[in-house]
Amino acid sequence: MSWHVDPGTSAGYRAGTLPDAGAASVEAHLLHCAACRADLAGSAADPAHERTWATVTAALDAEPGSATERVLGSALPPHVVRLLAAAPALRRTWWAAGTGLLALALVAAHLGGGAVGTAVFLVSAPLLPLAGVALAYSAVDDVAGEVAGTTPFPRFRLLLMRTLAVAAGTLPVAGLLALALPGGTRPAVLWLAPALALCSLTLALSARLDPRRVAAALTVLWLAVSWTTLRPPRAPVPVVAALERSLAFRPPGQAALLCLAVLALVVAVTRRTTFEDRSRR
Amino acid sequence: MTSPVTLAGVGKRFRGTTALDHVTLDLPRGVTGLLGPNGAGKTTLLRIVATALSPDAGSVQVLGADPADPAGRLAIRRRLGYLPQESGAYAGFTAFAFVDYVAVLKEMTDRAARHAEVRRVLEVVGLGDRMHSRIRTLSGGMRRRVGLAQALLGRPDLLVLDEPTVGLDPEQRLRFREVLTGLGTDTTVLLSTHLTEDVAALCPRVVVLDRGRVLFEGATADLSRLADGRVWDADAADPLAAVSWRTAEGRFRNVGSPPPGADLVPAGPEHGYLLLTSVPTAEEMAS
Repeated sequence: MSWHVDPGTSAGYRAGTLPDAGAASVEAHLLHCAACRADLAGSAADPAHERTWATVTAALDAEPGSATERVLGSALPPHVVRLLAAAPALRRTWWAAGTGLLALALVAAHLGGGAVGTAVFLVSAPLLPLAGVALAYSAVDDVAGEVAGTTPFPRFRLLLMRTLAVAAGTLPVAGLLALALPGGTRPAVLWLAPALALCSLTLALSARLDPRRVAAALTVLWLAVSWTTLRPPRAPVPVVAALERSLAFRPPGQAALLCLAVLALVVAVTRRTTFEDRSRR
Repeated sequence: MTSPVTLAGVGKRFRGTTALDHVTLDLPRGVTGLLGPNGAGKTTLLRIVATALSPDAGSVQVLGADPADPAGRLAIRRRLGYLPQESGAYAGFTAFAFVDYVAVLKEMTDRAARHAEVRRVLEVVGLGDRMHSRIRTLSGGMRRRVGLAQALLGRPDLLVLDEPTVGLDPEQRLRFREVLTGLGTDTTVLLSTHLTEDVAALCPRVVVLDRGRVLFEGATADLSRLADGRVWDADAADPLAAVSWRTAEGRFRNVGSPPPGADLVPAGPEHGYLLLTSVPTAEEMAS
């Protein structure tokens, strides 16, 4: 070998400031010159190389992930996607079951002449996000089991993130289906206030109680409140008239449910440290 | 220098059953083994140290912080690695995805750095070639190693390991011992086990727990010394011995008060442990 890489070129190569042609020339020379290879071997510790290597290995490690992860990944940072995708509620089976229930109610609404089917839909639609919230986070359901409770990640934040993810995933689905209901736009939005109230109440009460038990109790309570709506009328009535039979779907009831949703959310946020304490009993 | 883990008068009851009864302990840096029969309170003690459970009585200090205080608890959790008895890994995840999930919970948000750390811990536990296998396809021992990998994330100052060698074959147990001995001297490790061989091989210090009470706390060599001159072999089980069993050679090993002229054999930590746990309590004597 008649020549070696001079110190200035070597330093430029280490720093990554050489033009492409110069860098390619150095690399061609390195293939045949052990002395220059040895001289530049320490460059492996260069931060730029470390970053490049980390990027390459991160790309190699990137697993395709589930369909849910891919959908979430288009809008959220990878670490948030990882947290959300671990929630049981976001699994495909749950989506299929929930959406199937709503589709069934929608079909019932059209086949049943309107009022009864619409009532079934409006009563069942708020329960879909409620079930999702309940499943989204509890000590036994977390994929990391007890480990999750001993990490620094705040439980309340995790619960809130998953609640929002469930709401973002289910509310639009229910909303789109509701638009196809007979009886105009009013029935299409009546399920929203109870859905928000039930989700917020679950969140707030989960500070002290098991979210699944809370959801079960609220489901029973909701069905009892809305029973008068579900009860078949003696004679055929218009959809709106049928809904007026339940306080939950009248304007005062809807306003009360919205107030309840906001109040429960405020309580949950102000008592967020209680979520940590519940798991330690 | 204060101990990394201190418990003073710690008590815990579950539905009328006493799990821990005024336990007072000082755990220094290094590896401490927690020995005890089933129901001794080992898991309860580990869960309290790992901030997963709060005690009913007494005070706890972990890495200079109080787990009863939210800020203290957060400080502890940032320096803690915990392997519970049930790792709870979701079978649908790959080993990499599961450990990556726990890494996110441990506040590792930079993707490239987190993935590098996940790869490192999976290599450490010998799962480098299976990191992208789904957990449902891994053997019980491999799943246990996935659990150990997540506990090692971020090189924690305190490792709390509940029965870490359960399900591991002899070769994997050796590998686990290598992992623990490879940890820095500043790391504090508290591990529970049923296996006195693990304690003898790994733990300079040992705590023996039975019925929620500390029966012994000290050097593993001192646990062996408790049985010095109290272990002997004979052709038949000695009815006066506290414990007897047939050895591979076909003779009977007895632990207790030897008769004159007994064929004494060197004592190990298992003999000290058996002596301690076979002594009836005052309540048992009274009944």
